[in-house]
Amino acid sequence: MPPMFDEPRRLHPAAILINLGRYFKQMIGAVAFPLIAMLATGRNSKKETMALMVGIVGGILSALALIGPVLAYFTTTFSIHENALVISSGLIWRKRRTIPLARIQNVNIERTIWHRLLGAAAVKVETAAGGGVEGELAALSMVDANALQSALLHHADSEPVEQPKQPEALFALTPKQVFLAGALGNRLMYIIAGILGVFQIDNISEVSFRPLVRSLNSMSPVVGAMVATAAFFGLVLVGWLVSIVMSATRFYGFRIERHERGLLLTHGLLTQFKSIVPLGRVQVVRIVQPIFFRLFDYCEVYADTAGSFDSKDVASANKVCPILEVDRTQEIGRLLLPNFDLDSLHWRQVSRKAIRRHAIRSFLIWAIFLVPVGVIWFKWQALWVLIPLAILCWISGILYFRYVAYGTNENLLASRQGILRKQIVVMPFDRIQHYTINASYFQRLAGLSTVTVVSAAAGGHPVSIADVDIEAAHELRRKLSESIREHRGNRTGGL
Amino acid sequence: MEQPIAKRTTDGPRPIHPAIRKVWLFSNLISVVILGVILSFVEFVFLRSFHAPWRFPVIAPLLAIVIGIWASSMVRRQWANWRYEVTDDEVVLAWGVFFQTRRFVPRDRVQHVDINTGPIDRRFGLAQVSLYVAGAHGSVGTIPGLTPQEADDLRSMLVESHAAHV
Repeated sequence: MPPMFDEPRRLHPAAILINLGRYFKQMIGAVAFPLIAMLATGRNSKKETMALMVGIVGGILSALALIGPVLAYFTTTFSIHENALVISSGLIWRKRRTIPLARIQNVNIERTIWHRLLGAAAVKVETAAGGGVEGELAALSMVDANALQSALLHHADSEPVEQPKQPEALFALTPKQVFLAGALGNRLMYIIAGILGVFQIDNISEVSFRPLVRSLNSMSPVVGAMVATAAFFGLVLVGWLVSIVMSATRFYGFRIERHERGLLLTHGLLTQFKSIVPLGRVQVVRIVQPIFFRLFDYCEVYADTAGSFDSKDVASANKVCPILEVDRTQEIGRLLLPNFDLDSLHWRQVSRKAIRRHAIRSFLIWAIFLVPVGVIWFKWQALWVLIPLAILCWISGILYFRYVAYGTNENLLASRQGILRKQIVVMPFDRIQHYTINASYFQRLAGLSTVTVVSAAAGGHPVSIADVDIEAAHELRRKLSESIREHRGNRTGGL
Repeated sequence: MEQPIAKRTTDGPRPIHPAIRKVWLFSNLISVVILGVILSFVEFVFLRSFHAPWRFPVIAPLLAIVIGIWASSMVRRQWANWRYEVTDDEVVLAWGVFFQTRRFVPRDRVQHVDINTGPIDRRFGLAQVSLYVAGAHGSVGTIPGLTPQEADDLRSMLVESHAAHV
């Protein structure tokens, strides 16, 4: 007998501890920081009294803190009433949030390490209203969390389907793949930015780097440079290892299962994530190959869904597969869009003039950036750099042209693009919301135009095809128009 | 009382009302004044710090005026390039001088329609119609320079199509 939610119910008592933990996380910063600052800077005579004061204040705050979550536990209730999730909370300022079940886009179950120790789970409810979580229940028992997830997503027929204990995984990552996802991920840039960021913080560099710089200065220049380089690469290596560990904790045990409302993604070592990709609402499927992924024939798969915005929460849910062998894209794509078929797409290249346009554009951008800097540092000699720059831009233009293309079959429209990081965007014709053909003055001189096709995934990606011949653009426009006539009145996509 | 039968399409592309040129000229004037004031202030600050031989902004107002004249000379072509059309399946908007754009919005994708009349629009008896589809942050297209009658016709065409297909 699955649990029912008709009557207002309280959360799992673990909610007290979890809210308390959250409260302390915030309090640690507020109390500990002045305490440490005082201990570090204060004079001896005053130090003890100040520490005592802070201790007393901290104690009082902790006692108060304990009251908050306990009161919250006794006043917070939730229920499913008249086809809506109702969450009431508060003692003095009473709050009652009602989320109609029909508006619920997604229900995620999240288990931090504390939840798992206490045998509980948090339930987060998202609607299409915007980025983020609209309803959050801090802790429920596992049985309740699963039942609530089904009940919220299953409002149409209230009889919950009995799920097998461990449904067969449609897809699972091996530990080796999880490792690769972290090792190949393009986090290198973040790592370097992070290192530079550390040097930017003046106070810290004043205190901790001055002795370091002094000892570097005392060495001979060659040794100093070698030490500095070794230190830099050491930091990069540490960053790289951190990125592998992060990926491993996030994507550990990654598996995809079928769920009544779509695909259920489960992953995570410390914090366990369970999110559902609502299949009916998938607008666009993207196959992305960052540069290092290409060396090993791997890719990432994203699904942009209707009503998803580019907030952190939802963007991560859009990533359906952190790493996948290129041969298996067809299989995963089929799960997301029933008529997904990369092999039957008929690809067409854009105009050859795209090489020139791409080369000129990148040359101008780099020249504007490099020339002033170069002239200031190296005087007019710096202009020589324009020659290799021009050659590089021309090569990048050729590489760009070789890959960029758009493809169609009877159901799908796709575009592919990229020099280092390659991306294929696939959109079914019946998900098209609107499309635009435009041409700048220079494009018109060359007889070119750009076609942009947009779906209902607001934060998602359009199918964008730059620099096609005007005739080809018209042909594509006819095809789009025809498909719209065909699908009129029976379009899908959850809207 | 017999209602006239509302048309479903516009029967071919339609231009927008010529009076929109006055609206755009007027709003250009306002933008130029604002731009001139901001640029002049910037120049004023610069003159102070560089000890220039003259004391009051000269370049900034001139620049603003040149931009204003250039923008105003474009108004005629801007108007001439605007077309809108409601076909059986799509709403087609075409506009632009330097960047020429044609946007196609399937009729059954239109979620709702706004008719807006700003203070300058109202002075010249004009209105504008904005189209909205699902998932977009704002409107996907705004047709300026419509008489209130045209705007209302357009709205009823688009709303009718919505009702017929859903």
